Amino acid sequence: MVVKEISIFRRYRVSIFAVIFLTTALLTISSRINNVERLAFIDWALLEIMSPFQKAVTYSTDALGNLIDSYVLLVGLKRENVALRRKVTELREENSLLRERAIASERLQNLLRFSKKVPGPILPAQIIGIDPSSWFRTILIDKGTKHGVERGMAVVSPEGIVGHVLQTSPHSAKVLLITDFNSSVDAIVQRSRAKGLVEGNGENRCRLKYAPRAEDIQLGDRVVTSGLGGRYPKGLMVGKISKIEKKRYGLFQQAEIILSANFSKLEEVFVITETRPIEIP
Amino acid sequence: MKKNLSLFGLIFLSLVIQTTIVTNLPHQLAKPDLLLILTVYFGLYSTPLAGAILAFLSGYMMDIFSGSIFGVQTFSKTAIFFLTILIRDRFYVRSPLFQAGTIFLFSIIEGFIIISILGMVSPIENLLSPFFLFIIPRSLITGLVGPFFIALIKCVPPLSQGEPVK
Repeated sequence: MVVKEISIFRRYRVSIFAVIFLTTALLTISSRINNVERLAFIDWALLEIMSPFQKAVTYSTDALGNLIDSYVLLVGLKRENVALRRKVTELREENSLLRERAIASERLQNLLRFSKKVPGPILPAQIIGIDPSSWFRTILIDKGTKHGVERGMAVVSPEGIVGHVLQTSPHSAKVLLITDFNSSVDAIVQRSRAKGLVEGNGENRCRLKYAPRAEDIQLGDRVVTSGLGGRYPKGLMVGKISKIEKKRYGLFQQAEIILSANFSKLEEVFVITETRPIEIP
Repeated sequence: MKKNLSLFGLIFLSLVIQTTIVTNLPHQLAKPDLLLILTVYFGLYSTPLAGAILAFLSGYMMDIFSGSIFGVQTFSKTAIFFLTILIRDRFYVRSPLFQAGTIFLFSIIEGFIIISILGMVSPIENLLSPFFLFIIPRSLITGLVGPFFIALIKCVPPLSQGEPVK
């Protein structure tokens, strides 16, 4: 009898294993679906174990790339180019903030005190890993809870917003980029003050959704964070309108946004480790 | 045991390479999926139990570093492993051409599995557009890289004598 049972098991073992492992995988999806931000101990441990290796490989490849770029190619020109690009980026960001303040003072005098937004301390972080799949848009940074990083904190670059912290471990954190399907940011069109929700589309672009149909949105308009929701400070650059979709019916219009931050070239980001709540009168 | 530990080490190494060097390749859309190639390798050269555990682990580890819906890669990689088991006794698995074709096909199937799960889990518009944008180029490059990667795996001493398991 036992021999017969063993032979049945051997005969159907692949099917039995398939059922067990696939069911376990489905249960994993089911159990985590409503706990996106929860990090199990095993996940936490693996992130911790792997982050030094990722750091080492990233630094090595960067160092090798820089060596080739800096010494074999045009040494001085590259350095100057980098410095100039940084300066241009700083000036653009400054310009964006100044415009935001100018419009605010023209529209409502009492908004002026709110336009002096101080996002609070920021923490620079190096990107040590990028989402290995083509489906999701996340990055891994080299700062974690030991450095004061917490779930939900905003992550920005000098060019604009990048995303928010999804999961943390002591020395690293996973950041959900604004281009991910599951990301949404409350935003406004800087010129017309039209409100909407910026959602990721899985590519390197986002869409402005739920903007009322009657609102004035034009190509090239700058889109900035509204400050609503408390995650991102008000006035941070998101991107520019590149395409508008306004149907003949419906309450809302949609627009495609070219993001300010170049996600394919991001190397360093800043985590805003403290944000003050901003009131919109 | 030694072989399985080496394979686990390979998952670890492949994931480090996948999340650092591969993601920084110039053409972002055509990143080879090294862990899918590994999963097919497990299907071709491991026992059902050991291979299933390794495939599950490679998917799980990818999920840790990947997007916001946890478990999608775990499921897809495990499913691909069992699909490989299904075909390995029916075809000549050692031919590089066969391996390239299998990996290409399975990469597309994995894409379908992921799209289906994403579609069921969250209401996302135009889910099929990533199919043409990501899956086809990714599958092609993964299929091309696959035989070379498998040949490289076989150079690891504990795995060098690995014959297909019947």
